[in-house]
Amino acid sequence: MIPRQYLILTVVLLAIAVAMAIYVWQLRRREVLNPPPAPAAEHVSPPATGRVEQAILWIVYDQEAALHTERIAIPLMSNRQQRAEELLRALIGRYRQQNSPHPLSAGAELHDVYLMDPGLAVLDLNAEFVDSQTSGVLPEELMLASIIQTLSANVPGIARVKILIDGRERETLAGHADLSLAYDVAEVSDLARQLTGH
Amino acid sequence: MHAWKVFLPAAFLSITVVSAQRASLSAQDAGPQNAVPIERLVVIDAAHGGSETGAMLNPAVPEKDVNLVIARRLRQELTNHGVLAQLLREGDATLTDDQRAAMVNAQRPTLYLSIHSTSLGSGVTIITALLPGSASTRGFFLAWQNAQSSWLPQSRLVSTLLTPSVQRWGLPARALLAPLRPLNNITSPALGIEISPTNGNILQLASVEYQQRISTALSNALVSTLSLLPPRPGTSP
Repeated sequence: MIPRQYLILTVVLLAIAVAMAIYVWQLRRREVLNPPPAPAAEHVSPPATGRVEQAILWIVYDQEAALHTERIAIPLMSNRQQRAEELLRALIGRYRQQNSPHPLSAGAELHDVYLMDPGLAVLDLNAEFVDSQTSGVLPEELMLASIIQTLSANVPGIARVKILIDGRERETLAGHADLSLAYDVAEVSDLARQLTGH
Repeated sequence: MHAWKVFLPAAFLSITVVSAQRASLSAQDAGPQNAVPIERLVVIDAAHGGSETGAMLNPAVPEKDVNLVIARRLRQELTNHGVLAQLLREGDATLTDDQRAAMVNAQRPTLYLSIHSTSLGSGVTIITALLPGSASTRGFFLAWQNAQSSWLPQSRLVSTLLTPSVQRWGLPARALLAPLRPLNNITSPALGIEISPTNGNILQLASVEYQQRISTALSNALVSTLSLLPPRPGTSP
């Protein structure tokens, strides 16, 4: 004969187990019906603490079909590669702003920068960057000059720049500007001067 | 990239396309039996075409169509001035940059024009090739990516003369270097011509009046410049 108190304890424990099972099932159901929002595929900038330094961005202004310079403060980096990435992310961030003079989609971003010897920088941009780019010889050239001039003027030792899209070679930026070869920084610098009207 | 690696496929492509082009040219230029060789020829290339639409200037107007209409008008205007002008594509054909370059190089024109249109800018942008510094040339073999190098001074001269000349016809014009294929593969003086609206309204590119104004200004400016270029090889000045 089972003592009465053990019987009551067993029933209570069973009731608790059933209640917990129902609760977990309800939680799981709620999770399936309302999944949490996917995290935005966006690079997180390092916290801008500590010392900062000045850098110059070359920005495309669609209305004038020209480049303008803007000064910004970026975190001081001792590493050239980090500095290059920080600069280009700041540049693309400027284009993604609401009041941008050359709007790019919110998903446009830089994957990576690889600085290779001697003097070659390889930039890997994403497909959204290209998809939101205005097509045409002049608009594409302005964007290339903006990127390459911003990079080479602020990061010493870069002589050539090669651009990849999602890690792969691509024939053109948006149907016109040739991306099949590396750009000579000195030539692009002359071009940027032409495009700024200096 | 080594020159010979690009030269061989380019040469093969040239041979195949050239024979078709020569046949077409000789049929068109046959005329009288004792016709004199054509001293000056302008080849007009309406950029993009076929499956390659170029920019969508608005949802209903692809760049390829505007380019073709402007190219046709320009050919007509040049013909009216007594200049022999040919279109690289007459219809909505898909051509790769290498095919375009091979077809043009086979004709050895006095001037090659690649016509583009875009929403940005104003008036006419006259483009010369920005050649890649990394492509090397070995001996007799010219790197395909740098094939324009020997003709670049002539291209820049034409661009320098053409820009103020177009401005005199009341259109905004600017000269620019650009990494635009197939300009760097062309073995003749070569320019890109990009047309933009002057009033900021993209629909202007599709208006007959604006297209005619562009064609007239360009053809008048070209006629005064062409005489400065040397005649085609094999013809006397």
